[in-house]
Amino acid sequence: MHETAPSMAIFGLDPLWLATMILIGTYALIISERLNRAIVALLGAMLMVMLGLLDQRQAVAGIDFNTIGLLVGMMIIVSITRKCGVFEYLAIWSAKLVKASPAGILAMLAAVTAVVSALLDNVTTVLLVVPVTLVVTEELKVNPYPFLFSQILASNIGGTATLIGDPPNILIGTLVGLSFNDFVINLAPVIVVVLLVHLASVHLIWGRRMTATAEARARVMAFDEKKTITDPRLLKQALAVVAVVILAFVLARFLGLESGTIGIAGAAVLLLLDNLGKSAEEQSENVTKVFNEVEWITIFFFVGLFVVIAGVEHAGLLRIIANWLVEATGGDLTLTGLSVLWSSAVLSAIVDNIPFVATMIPLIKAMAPTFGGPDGLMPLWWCLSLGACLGGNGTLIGASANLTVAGIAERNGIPFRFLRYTKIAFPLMLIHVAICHVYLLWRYF
Amino acid sequence: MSCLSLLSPDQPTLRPEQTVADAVRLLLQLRVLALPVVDGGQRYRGMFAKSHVFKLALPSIATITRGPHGYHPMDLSFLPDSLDDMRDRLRAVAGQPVVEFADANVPFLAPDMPVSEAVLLLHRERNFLPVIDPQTQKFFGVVSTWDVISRLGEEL
Repeated sequence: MHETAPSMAIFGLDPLWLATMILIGTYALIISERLNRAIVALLGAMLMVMLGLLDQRQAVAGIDFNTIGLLVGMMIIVSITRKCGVFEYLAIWSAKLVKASPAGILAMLAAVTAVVSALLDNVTTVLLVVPVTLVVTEELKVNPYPFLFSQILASNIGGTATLIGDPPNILIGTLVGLSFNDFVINLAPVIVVVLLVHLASVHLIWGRRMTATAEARARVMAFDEKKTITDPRLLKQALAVVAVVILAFVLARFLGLESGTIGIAGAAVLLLLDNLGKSAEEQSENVTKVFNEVEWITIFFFVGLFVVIAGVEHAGLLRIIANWLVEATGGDLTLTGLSVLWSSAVLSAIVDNIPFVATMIPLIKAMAPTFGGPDGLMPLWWCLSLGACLGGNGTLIGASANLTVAGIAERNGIPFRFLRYTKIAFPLMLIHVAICHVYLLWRYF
Repeated sequence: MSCLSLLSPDQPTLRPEQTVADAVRLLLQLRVLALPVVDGGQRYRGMFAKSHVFKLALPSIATITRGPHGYHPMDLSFLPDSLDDMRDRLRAVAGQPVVEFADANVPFLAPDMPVSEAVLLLHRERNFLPVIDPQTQKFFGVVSTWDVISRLGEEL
């Protein structure tokens, strides 16, 4: 990413130590959760520039437009698409497809969550599927906990399958230059297996014992999913734009387009369609509403983090750590890959996986000379993605979707506690990572 | 002048052990928007309002209006419920103590709050405001929009 260059660190301080201190301080504050993570990342970025480790040009160059553009673009596309009710339609339709049997709905809603999460961000997916789930479980008079638990895991599993499904993949894809197809070809096969194992696990733990009366099931079968579609014209436009955006991701290399451009272009076209025929005042109100849906905390968190990582990279710290890691694994690609997989999984269950992945990317890149150039690193990217995305399932604080579901559940009077969740989720996460371990050994090492 | 001067005398209250059914009957009988739940020691336990009746008659997730970033209150157009279905939901909790459903977090007035502030708060967001000592939770009464309008309308 960035070449090590002479630094202008203030007071003649050692730039390597200064950058290390800023990185550790930033990480510690993020983990402590005492300050909002966007504030912490921006403060870390500010220190990198103010203390002379980077000049402004270098700091701005460290902010990856593809990541930011893709995130913002997809958030805008999703915020417009969701208005037409298509996701609620899908959830109700899938519940009726299995004749409203509780075990069938448990599996179907998890499968729908996984598929939708592969194309949208995980938090948005659970925000759309969970409310419908709670109405369905209330009608069936069954315990909603297994459904919510299952959907959390499914959202993180599904998100692992594509470039746009989970922020760690967006980071890996955009910073390394991997395409949408690269992710689907290399990760989707194992993710399908992990998802099937997950569905079988929740069926064995809860689903097989669930029952509902014929009357309750009839009530769910009476739901009219067509009524959830609030704007059929917008639905057609939004689905067309989403289809074109996904096609553009698939053909990105052929078209010579980068992911940030595709995301922003899709957002611009959908904003145009959503505002055609509206007065200037209505357009202003509508666009403001859509922009308010963008998670600016996440965006500024990425911006700050990119500058912090650029600072430590510029100071040469990441190259030193990469050399240590290569020495520790004896330059063995298999051992390095599996270490990346398991350490990413366990760490991502405990801490935010975004700063971890953002640091690991330049660190792995620095290992290229040992493993025969950038092509030799390919298996390591899949290890990092699978570990970081699936690891988030391990505890309630492992991923944003987990906390979002827990928050809605608690507001709805459903206890969703850390230990109760972790007791089942952590072992399941270890099983999922073990499946990936076998897959990676079989396919790449 | 403190907001205590706005309180009308002999206000009805609910005891914590009274049931949801008792509360609904009393709301209907008195045609008031809300009733305070107060225990034997005059300690305030929360308000039971007409909105709680609606809440208990609907799927609970649909009544949640606030959530994490990106959460939108859901729409129930797909649900073919009749009034009987909603009555069934309400009936399922009718025998439970009202205190379990009373909301202790509604905005309130402290007894020393001036009348102007009480009127402003009623104008901004509420139809009623309980008057409570924030330290001891002692209950003084409820100021409603009708109390204020009747006082403002005197001698018009």
